[in-house]
Amino acid sequence: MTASFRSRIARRPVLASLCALFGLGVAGTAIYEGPRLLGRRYPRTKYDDLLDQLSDRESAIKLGRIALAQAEAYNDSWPSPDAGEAARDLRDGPGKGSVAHAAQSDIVQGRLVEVQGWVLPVSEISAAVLAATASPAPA
Amino acid sequence: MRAFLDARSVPAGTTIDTDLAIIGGGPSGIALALALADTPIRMLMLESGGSDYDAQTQSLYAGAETGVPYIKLDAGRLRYLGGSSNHWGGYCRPLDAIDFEQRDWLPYSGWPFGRETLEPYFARAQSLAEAGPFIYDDPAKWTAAQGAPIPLGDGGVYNTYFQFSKQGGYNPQHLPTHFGERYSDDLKRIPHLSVMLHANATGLRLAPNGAILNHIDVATLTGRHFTVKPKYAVVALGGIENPRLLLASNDVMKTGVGNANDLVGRFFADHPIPGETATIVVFNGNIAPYYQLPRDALDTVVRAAFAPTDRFKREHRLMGALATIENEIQLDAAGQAAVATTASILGVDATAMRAYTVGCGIEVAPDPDRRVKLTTSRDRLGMPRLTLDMRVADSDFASYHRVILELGRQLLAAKSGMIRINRSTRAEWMSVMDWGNHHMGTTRMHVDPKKGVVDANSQVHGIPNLYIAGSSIFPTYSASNPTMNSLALTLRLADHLRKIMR
Repeated sequence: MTASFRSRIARRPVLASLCALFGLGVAGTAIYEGPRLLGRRYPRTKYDDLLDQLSDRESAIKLGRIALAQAEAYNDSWPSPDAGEAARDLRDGPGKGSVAHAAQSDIVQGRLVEVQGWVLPVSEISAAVLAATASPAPA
Repeated sequence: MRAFLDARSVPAGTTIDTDLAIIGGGPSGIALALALADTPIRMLMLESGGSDYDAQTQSLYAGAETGVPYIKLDAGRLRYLGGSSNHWGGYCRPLDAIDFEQRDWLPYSGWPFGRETLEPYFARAQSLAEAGPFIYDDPAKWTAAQGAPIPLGDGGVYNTYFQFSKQGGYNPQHLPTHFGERYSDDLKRIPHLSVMLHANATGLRLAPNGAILNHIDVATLTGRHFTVKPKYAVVALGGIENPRLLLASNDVMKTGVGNANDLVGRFFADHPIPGETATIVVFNGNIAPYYQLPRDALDTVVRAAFAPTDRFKREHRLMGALATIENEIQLDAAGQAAVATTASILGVDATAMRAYTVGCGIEVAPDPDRRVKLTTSRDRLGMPRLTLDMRVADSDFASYHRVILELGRQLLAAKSGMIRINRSTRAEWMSVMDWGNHHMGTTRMHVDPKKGVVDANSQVHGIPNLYIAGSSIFPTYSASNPTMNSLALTLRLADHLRKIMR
């Protein structure tokens, strides 16, 4: 038995362990990131017909939370934290369920709001509030 | 060429006869003399300062202030030949048509004539300011070379352009034109003009019946006193000193010359220029260079701005405003979220977006209580000093807010960008407040003596040989910078004097 053969034998358990660890990593990543990679990171809701239109949902959630905090700070009645109300506005409004069309209509008609000063279409904020209220609160 | 005279060498008690006394050697006074150069009219220009800055002379401007914070009265203007053109920014832009209109929703509005009356004088005024060819809102040629304007959707705000005074002659790189330095030799070549430096007009002395100007008291800081006896006189001392001289000349008319109806000194105005009023985001990150800084184009210097259309102003009862793009900034988390969400909903790529602060110049509404008044304090010449009661109305800020809101809407409509409005409360506006040093309104023009100090020809009501030049005669103020427009008014006055002084 040569020294080099002994070395190959000794590598087997090491390689096996590495493979196991890699497999665990892949599985873990798949469990954690899989839904996002498949476009389904967020829990299913009854508003997904609207929320799935938001290609940058994380930003929409942040914006929605800012809008809600502003409304609370200034004791404004709008936007409402009621997701159902926001969804109803988007489905029954001029966009008929299309957030993009609703935003375009708002822009043409001048239905704009200021959120922390940002001049935005009303329906954009409705969608952002919907995204915020339909998502788990930040830890 | 004729050398300038020095009032300090005029013997005390002298009386100097002349056809036309021009009181003040700033842009208006100089423009008037140049415009009448080809006439036989004997002119005498009285300039308080010399050819350069002098602290003692400058201190004659000192005064007091009340109301909202404002620039010290001896800091926002300059008292030597060329006047405040010695420190102006060079911004030129003609008044808009609506600026001349009587608007039922804007008290005290309405000039005695429309824009068409001044239009024949704009090109010459522009030439005096050395601001190049008159191409303000005809930018197609040069924007083709320097980049397209930021796209805006249909609406009430449009891309407009300043042109800049650019001193020619021996120093073509000098921005902008300093009228004293630039036109000294031209003034010396006028055969019937005497320019007298260090000559302070301290009184407009009317005939006992108050119906005509008899003579002008002149004093120097060295203690000389003498008299100028003109057939006609034009007061061209600027928007603060014009009313001061009229109010202080109260020996015959006890309320001051031209002040029978308590209007002299009222309606003072300036352009608020609060900083960082908004943030503009351009989705594709591209803005033409002429937005941020003045740029050479077609033998002129230009800078873009956003302005409300006259139609939008009428529909929404708004004052004028000119918003400019200033410095690039980084957005905070809220801004990034707003941009990302908006871009995703509009279906545009904002990965290369850039953000900039927005500056502005705002027109204020006429206010009779925003005024200068005489005090009991006196300067070294014995002239009463002034106090300024400065005001700015919440409605002035609200008007600008509405314009920026519309700009934001049009950027969204064009899918080219978006706006953040940075100020909403009065405290927020005032915290970033600055002023344009555009002193206007204190001897306003109106055909009715009860509503104006001067008539449509710039003549002081009731005194046929006394006129006023400069932006103090503006009844309303526009958002445009006043110098070029004031020059146009002065050239029009020169035509009037040319006719009546034949």
